[in-house]
Amino acid sequence: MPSEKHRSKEDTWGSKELSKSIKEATSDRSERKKHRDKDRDKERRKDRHSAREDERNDSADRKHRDKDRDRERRKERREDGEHRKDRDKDRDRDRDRDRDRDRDKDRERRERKERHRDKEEDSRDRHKEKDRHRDRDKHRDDDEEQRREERRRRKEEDGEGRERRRKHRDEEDGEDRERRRKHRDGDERDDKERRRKHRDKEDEGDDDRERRRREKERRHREKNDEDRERRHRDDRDERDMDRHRDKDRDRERRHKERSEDDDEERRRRHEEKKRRKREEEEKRKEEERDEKERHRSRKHKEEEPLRPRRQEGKGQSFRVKRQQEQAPSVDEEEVQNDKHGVEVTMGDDDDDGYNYDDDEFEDYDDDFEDDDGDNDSEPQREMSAKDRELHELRKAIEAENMATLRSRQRDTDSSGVSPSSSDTSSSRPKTGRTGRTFVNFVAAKQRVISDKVSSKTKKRGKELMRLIDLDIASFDMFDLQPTKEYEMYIRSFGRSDTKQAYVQCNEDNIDRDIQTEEIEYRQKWTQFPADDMRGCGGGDDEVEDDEIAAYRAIKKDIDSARLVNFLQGAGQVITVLLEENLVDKGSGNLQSNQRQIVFSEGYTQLNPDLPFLKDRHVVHIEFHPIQTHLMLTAYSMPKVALSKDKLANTGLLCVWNINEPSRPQKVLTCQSAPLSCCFNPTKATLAFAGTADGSVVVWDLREPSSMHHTHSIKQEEWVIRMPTYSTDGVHGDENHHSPVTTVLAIVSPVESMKASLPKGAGVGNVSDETTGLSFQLASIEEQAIINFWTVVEITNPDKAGSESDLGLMPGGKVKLIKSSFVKLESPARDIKTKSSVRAFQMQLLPKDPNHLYVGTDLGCVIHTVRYGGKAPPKAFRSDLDVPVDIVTLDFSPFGLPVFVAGCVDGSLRLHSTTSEYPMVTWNNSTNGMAIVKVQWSRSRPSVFYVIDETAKVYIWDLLERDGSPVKIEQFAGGRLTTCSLSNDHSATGLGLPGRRPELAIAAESGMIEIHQLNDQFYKAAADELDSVASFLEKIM
Amino acid sequence: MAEEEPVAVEEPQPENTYMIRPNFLSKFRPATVKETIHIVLNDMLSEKTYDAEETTNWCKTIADEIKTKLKDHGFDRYKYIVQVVIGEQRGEGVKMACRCFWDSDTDNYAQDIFMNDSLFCVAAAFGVFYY
Repeated sequence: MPSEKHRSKEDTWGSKELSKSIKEATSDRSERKKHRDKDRDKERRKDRHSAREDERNDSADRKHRDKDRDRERRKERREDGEHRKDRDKDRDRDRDRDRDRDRDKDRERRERKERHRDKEEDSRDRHKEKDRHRDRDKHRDDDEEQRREERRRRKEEDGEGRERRRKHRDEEDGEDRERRRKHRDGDERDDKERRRKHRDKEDEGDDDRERRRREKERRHREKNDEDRERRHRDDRDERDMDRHRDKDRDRERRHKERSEDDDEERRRRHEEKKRRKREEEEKRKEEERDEKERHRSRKHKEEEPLRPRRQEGKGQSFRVKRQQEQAPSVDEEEVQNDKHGVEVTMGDDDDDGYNYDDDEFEDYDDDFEDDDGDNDSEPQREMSAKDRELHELRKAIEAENMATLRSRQRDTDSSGVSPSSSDTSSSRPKTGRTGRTFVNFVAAKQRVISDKVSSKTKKRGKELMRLIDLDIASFDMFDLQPTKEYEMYIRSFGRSDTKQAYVQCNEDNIDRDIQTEEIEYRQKWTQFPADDMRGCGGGDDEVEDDEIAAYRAIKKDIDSARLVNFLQGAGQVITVLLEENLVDKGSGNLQSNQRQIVFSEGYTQLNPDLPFLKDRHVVHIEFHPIQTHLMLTAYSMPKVALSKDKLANTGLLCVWNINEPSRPQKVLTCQSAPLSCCFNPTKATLAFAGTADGSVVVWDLREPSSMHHTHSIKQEEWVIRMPTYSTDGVHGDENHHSPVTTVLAIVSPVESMKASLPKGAGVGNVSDETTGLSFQLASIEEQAIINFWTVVEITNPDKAGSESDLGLMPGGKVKLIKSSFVKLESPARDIKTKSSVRAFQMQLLPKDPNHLYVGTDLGCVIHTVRYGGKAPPKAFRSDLDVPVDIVTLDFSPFGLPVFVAGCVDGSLRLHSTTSEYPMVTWNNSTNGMAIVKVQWSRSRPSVFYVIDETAKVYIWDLLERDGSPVKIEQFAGGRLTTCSLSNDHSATGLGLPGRRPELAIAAESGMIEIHQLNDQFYKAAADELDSVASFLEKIM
Repeated sequence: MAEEEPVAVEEPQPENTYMIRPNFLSKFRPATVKETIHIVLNDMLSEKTYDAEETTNWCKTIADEIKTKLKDHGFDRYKYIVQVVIGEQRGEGVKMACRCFWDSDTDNYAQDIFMNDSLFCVAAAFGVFYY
């Protein structure tokens, strides 16, 4: 210890070290305490020797005191780990007190020492005896040499810990003493406690061997401090061991001793010097007695099982005292030390211990006297019962120990007492536990019972487990999704007096739920180009804006379509009337010829100044066969392209009312230049044209102008009508692939007559549009393929346009369906020429539209039929078989089976339909100028007109002269491009009755003159037809 | 969150008189038990707001109430474990699950949830057959 004194706790103790040592110290101390108890027992025994003469009361007092102290100590022990320190303090306080006393009696001690030295003689006797014991002890010492070394080390640490505690003790000394006294006062109360002590005692008895071991350990631990004392103790231990080996014997001996000791004890308390000497003697005596008494009967021992325990307190303080005194010398002294030291200290210690005891306990003797009787008798009474319980208790405690052991093993203790080592070195933990065992006794008992029960249930469980299957079932009990921030907000703020309106902050939050307003839907349609006034419209039965509703309301009142229809019709009538009035008044438009034209009464010039007709000339003129005042003119492409004009690059046709020559009634347009055109045969409701790009186009003239574009050309509004139907690319391979030279409506003469019959009402009477609408159209292209089209009227036109028929204009009512085709083959036997037939004009036999006559470049007119086999003259050749282009041919409209064909070489041929070769051929009638057009007169059967490219009109009258034209008229204004004659109702029964036939002549300049034929060429003689017929028969 | 492992506790009995399956009529039926729990929860918690101090008591009373009512059902030889959890609704997500190591043929569980603006309560009753 002294070696460690210079060290402070701060610089030597790590927290880990500290905790470890504290643990060890506490456990050590608790063991030590027990050993101390035993030591004290021994001391007491000594006391008893000396104080045997003392009254029983006295010893009882002491016992009582001891008991109290025991109780107190046990209480302290019972406290938790955190209170251990207090306990230590208490113990230290004891020690402290000793020290104080030491200080007080310093002088005395010195004297005593001297005295001791004097007494060495006496003690030597004792030593001899001791030596004997020591010899025996030595065996054990040697065995445990190593262990002792280890313990010593631990002990050193312990010493330091104690030192530390001592400091605290000094401060609390007085107060603690006070407290202890109180404890003692109060503690007498329960007998139970005493009983518990009994149990402890028995416990100790049970753990006899263990205790012995512990004792040894303690001894070794203290060896360094108090080597001599240790040796002395060894002697005592020896005795102890004996006692433990045979406890009963020991007890008996002690009993006897006590009776002897009482007397001396009393004396000692009052007389120090005397007592000390006596004590020495007594010790010797006791030792001797011990030797003897060990063999004595054990009857008496059973009476005082508690005695040794009761002197614990004294013993402890006694020992501590010794320890302190001897501290300086301890370290130097080892296991083999001299007997002197031992002896001297022995004496000292004993004296001090008794001194202390005397001082200390005298004060309290009075207090406890009353209880003595009880206390004394109590344990004895208990003992009788104890015997019976003993067996049971032991079992219970054993079980408890086992249980605690098991529990220890389960929770790994931080103290590091490993379960495996607990059996071998469990002395310390076990003592700690034995202190607690009585607390858990009931529990232990129960545990035994419950163990029994549980073993049964285990067995039952095993059997059951064979019968049942256990499985794991998992359940989701509750799943609460975390609230979203927004919901949280609404919950906390969205309720009170507020209403949450939808708001959209982030563009990515485009959920419909957070849109601020309902999305409005409205169905609309639109059409471009617009085919009515609006070009757009709403869907069905949706709620409309006020605007639209108002608009609708207005529109309801004003049916623009009807109005337009009315205006169109009425306007047309009025303009016609006005123009007719003009004509009537001063021959109006009908201009008188500047020069004498043989056939002309006068002429009407169609307005040539229309801007869109500029630089165009007429390539074809077609009068309507019945409504002869209507004329269709096809224009060529403009010579100079007017790039700005939308119409510059499109083909144009115009529908003229001859009564209204100032402007065309309708302007028709198509993508390509028209080469030929025609009306539908009955009423002027449809216009057809064959174009240079090989398509056949149809205009439905009944279509309202709203369906077509209105072009503003030079401050005038013109409705330019797009084709209702076009075969452009629609029919692919079935379409024409070369310019369409002629389009003809195939109409039987009967139908034509029928259509003409009701006429007579007037110009505006164009009712019964449905009749004759379904008819066939024949078109021929340059490559000599004739296509036949069926004109079909659609009853339910689709304003959105047809998806299948791309040629049909949206809302169009008329379409063409190709029914058949005929490929003309060259009648020549020469194969070389077979492939290339170029067709120019095609004409139908007026009597039988089944027969087709086509003028070709082979110098012949090819004859073919729509149905059936072959017509007899396959071709109509010239006499010379010259391959010349026959560009024009015309049948006699009066039913005569003859036609005139004109060739580019200027020759004219008159053919009979029954003969392959011409009846008459007139060469050089035009002086070799190419013939452009040949037209039979619709009024006189014997007259026909020929136009050549030099702007001459040749008028032939076969009856008057059959070798040359009767009259040649030269026209000015450039080359004549075409001419056409209108039907004369009076002559042929076709056309408008009462209207004079007219001849329309178009010049290259774009000029169109419509000449009213004069009487000479208008009025045929009554027998003229017969004359012509006979003439023809004559020349055949 | 809560994990219950009801272990069948056996009792010493004469050999081979084990009753392995409950009587069909007295089998633990989750539907009826759930109904019971529902009623109890609604009785106890309707118009209550969360109170940290009180919920402990509520839990106890609810659990006891459910238990007593379950006993009235007369599911013979059943041991009940009633677990009641009351939590405050503060927007956090809560997930509770349980896992039972038992005999699914006989043992079952029923649960019901009560929720209002301030609290949620999950009550689960486990019925474990006592062989």
